[in-house]
Amino acid sequence: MRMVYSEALTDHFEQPRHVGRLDGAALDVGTGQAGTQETGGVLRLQIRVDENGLVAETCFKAYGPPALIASGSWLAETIRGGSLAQAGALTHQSIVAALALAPSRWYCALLAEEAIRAAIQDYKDKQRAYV
Amino acid sequence: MSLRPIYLDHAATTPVDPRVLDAMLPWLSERFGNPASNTHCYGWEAEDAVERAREQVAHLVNAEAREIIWTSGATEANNLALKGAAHFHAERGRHIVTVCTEHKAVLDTCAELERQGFEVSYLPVPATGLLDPDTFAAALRPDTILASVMAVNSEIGVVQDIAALGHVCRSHGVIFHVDAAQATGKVAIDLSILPVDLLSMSAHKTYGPKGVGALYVRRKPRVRLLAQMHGGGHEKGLRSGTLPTHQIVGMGEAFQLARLEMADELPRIQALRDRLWEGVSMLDEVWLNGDMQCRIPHNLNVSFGHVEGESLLAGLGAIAVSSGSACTSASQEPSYVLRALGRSDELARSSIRFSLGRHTTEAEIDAAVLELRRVVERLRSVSPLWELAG
Repeated sequence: MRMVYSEALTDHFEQPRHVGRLDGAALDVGTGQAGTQETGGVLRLQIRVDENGLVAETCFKAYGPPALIASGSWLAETIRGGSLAQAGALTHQSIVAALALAPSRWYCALLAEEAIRAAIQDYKDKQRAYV
Repeated sequence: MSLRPIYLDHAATTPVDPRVLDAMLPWLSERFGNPASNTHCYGWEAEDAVERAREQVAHLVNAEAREIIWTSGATEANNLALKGAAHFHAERGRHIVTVCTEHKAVLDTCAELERQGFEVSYLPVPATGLLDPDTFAAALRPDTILASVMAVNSEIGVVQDIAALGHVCRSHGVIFHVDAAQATGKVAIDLSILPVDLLSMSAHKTYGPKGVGALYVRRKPRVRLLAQMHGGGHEKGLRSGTLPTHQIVGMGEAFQLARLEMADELPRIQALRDRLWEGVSMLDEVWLNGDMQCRIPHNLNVSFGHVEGESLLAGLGAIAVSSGSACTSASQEPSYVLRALGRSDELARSSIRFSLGRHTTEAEIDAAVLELRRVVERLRSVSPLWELAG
């Protein structure tokens, strides 16, 4: 099992950015979770959106191989400060390219894409319910 | 990374002891003769060296030199023992008994024998990893010709009750093979007492070179085998092929050192292993795999709950260890040995085998413990599941 990790992946795995949790009940927070322990990993991504529609804060936690931890960290770093639309436009291909993921670990990027979509949806659902 | 990782993977292979290397070198240069050349001194001196090494290997396991057959390693010794005995005795019966936690060199050889028409029973083990002699006895049938049980498990280091299992074989007239690749120099083996018919050994697990091993073949009562390698009739016709003098001399020297130094080495290694376990077990949710008492002092196999296996290994870059057996870690499949003990796939995947050796130091163990705790705690702090469990 000789896994070769890119420099970017190793960096995010060794020093993950924005690890933590936001208050999932808060109206301005969206939470998305993807994957299961049995199928290779769980990723939880949270975003806090400010009044201008910008992603003001991000948080993630992940259980899985280095590629999943790095995907969560990269995503939390990349979407921070951008618009919701920009965050929603990110696809797994961007993550695969940024971290140079091996094909056997592309599923980690897919989980990350699923998590960000779910987080945005959760935020929008809350906003809609509030209005 | 300029610093080499701390080596705690001696069950995969050991470094060649410098004294072994010294003994080997002349046989790669001026003393290059073929031990089978009986017409000149080049051959005679090589033959003498091979026979001296045969005595040294025999001495470690208290056998006679003429009961030792050189092979290329334990895998070949296992193949020769199992196929050789099965083929020779096929008329008497076609049933073979082994254990599901054996090394692949035994399991895959048994699978090949199944393909050839033999029937193999793979016995289960409880969570301790120790085969119950009664379970073993119950598995033997009138048509059972051969049984194979390893002395020391390569992954979890547990020591089987070879004496009890051997007596069961004797009373049933079954040939008993023991894979001792992980046992030489780690547990006392006295073949003048143990009812063992065939015993496989490897040099490179005991500070000798890779590429050489031996099969002990009992003479009284004599065990018959059918050769698997044909050629010049070397090794009494049981294993043809020019003998690699330098490798054999290395194995002899390594086994002599093991015999002379075992008594001092084992308590020292056990103290280090216990120190390692003390440090590791301070973490929450760690599980020891296999029995702690019936185990070689070199081995510690631990499952770390709530830590994913690949991340654990990747995080532990400063320590050279294996997860599962080195032979199976090319795949992502969880260790079949740990699964046989009843571990879940998740826990089996997040387990680490630490195997200590002759050159392991207390400073290395302390550094390894610190590193392990750092990595496990870091991975758990990143995990959303640990948050829920904690």
